[in-house]
Amino acid sequence: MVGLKAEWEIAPAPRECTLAEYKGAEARWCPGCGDHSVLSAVQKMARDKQLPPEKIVVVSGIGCSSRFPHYMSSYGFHSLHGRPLPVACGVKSRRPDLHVFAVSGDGDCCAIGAGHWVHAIRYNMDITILMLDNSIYGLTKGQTSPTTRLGRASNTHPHGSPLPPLNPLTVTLGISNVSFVAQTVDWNPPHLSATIHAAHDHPGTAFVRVLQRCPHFTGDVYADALEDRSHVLLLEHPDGITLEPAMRERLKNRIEHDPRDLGEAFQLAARTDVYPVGLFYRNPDAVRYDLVTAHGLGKTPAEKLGAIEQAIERFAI
Amino acid sequence: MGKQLIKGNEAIVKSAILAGCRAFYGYPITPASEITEAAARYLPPVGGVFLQAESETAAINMIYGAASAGVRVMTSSSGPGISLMQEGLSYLAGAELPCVVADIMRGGPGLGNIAPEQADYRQVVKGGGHGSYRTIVLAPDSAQEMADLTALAFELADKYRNPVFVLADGMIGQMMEPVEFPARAVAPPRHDWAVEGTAETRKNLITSIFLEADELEAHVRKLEEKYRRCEREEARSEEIRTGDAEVVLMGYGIVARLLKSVVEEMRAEGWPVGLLRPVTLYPFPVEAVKRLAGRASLFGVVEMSTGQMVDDVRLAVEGRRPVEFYGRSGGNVPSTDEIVRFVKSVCGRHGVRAHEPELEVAHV
Repeated sequence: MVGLKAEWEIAPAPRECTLAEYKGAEARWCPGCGDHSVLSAVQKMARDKQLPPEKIVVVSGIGCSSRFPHYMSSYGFHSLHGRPLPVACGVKSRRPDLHVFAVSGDGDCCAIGAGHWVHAIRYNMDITILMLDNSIYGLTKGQTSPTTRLGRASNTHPHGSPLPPLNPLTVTLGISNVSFVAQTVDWNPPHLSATIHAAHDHPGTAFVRVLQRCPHFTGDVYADALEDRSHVLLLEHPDGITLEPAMRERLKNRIEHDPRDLGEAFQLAARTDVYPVGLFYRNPDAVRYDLVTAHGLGKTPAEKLGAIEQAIERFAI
Repeated sequence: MGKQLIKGNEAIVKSAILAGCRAFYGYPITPASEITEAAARYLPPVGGVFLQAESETAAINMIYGAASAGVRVMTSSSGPGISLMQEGLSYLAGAELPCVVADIMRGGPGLGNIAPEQADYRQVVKGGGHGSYRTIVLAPDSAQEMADLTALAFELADKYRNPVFVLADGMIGQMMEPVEFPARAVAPPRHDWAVEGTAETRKNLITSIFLEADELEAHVRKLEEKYRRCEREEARSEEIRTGDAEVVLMGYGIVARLLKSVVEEMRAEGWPVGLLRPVTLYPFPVEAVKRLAGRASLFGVVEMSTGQMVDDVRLAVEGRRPVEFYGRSGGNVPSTDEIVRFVKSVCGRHGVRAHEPELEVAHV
């Protein structure tokens, strides 16, 4: 791997990247799927920040949301079911210069990928996790997911989901070394966009849960919030996610929450009477495993050869 | 009960219930999801357990638990999910626990696609897990056989205390055909080895750990003995027009259905072809292959893969006759026309000629 460091130093030629340069194949999610708004928000964020497309990697697992990398004109990795987080950690640990996004869903992250979820949060590598939560297995056509609401019928629970849904926010907040947890919704593009900006800005693992609708199976689950905005509770703080004044004015139900307050973050994340949106928790000082694993990177060929000779010396007889 | 027009996948579940299956642990995957969904609908009303697990790894380990309790239990999946279950299958075989697994094969490797393929043959028939173990594998070629072989799978699982696969391609799983189910249900049997939480079964131990080398070797030999007996007693196959066949075609699942049409079509033109269809893939019908290798001059194997079962045909033929292969993959199902072209081309290469065309009455 001699010379790898040199590759990172090849800076992309400075240029103005247009939105079109981030757009990949035509998105083939169903019309009305929340995934479209997340894709658009990520592309616009990359354009606004002028991230070179060749420095972006979008890693996904399996599920509707995991079609995401195909629709970005960046590097992408459509990985295994439940495994986007270890793949993203693998990419980030070897190539710290890349902007790594992991796109997962409620089945991919919270069911089959739950083991990796816990450890990826604890590793706190500098990656952005977008967990697109439509509370159903959509790609396999309508089976209960871990976040399906209690009592909601599906093809695997025809009489209704028998369990209370898993709360991805409280779970993530409960993991040691967690550093960024936010929630947003697919039907509020300004808030979605502001959240994705903040998540990418964060130096560490940013976990963003996007509440969204699957038009085919769960199109009605947020009908209350769409009819009456007071069902959405906006978390506000100077260190939180800030919304433009006009949009902020429209969300009347607001609460001041300091994202350093983990205890209060838990209480807010556990609320079921409203949909809290905004930044629950941020700790920029959490340990980053990618900084630890990067210790061996960036050595000169002479340093590497010296170390190899020294290691072989140990076995000399 | 009369005939029902149902999907192959659904036939598996109905048959399993009639065969005494009372527990199902599954995870959605196309093209096998209908099995999980039908189990969710039909098992609870008959006093069974249905549980949607958080992954295939969890599902197979739940099977380990339920099978230990002596319950007739099953799961279903497709390629990627079966790969995840391999660890558990090795443990089930090691601990001598019966269970039934339906694998409705899709395109691979990796994510592949959701169209039908037959490329799980190696991971299922040869076993993808660690250790010296085998899984018994049944290969239905119709919705009717999805039902019949599922019932047989439960019998064999108990008889040999070993996992049994029903291995079908996505086409057999997805297509609808008339199916006749048995009029009577089988009462789930009891096993003296099971751990039932009673005073009598308290000393029963389910384990696959044998720390002493001699102890483990004895256990492996015992398993091997079981597999040898299974090979002697359970190999099943179907033959069509093999009596005077110079060319023996072989294929399983949907390919066998195509080969039946190919044999009929080519016989009408006077080609001396016949079909040997393995119904059990493990044990492989070695004796039937050997017998036909004695008089036929050529074997033609067709699979929806780049050639997996063909290895077993070659092992059984032992180099006595040429074994030619034709495969499609990626979810492509070969047409009868292209198979006919393949057969005629290998006949040409090996000097097999058509005889006088048969008269219509010859079919009767």
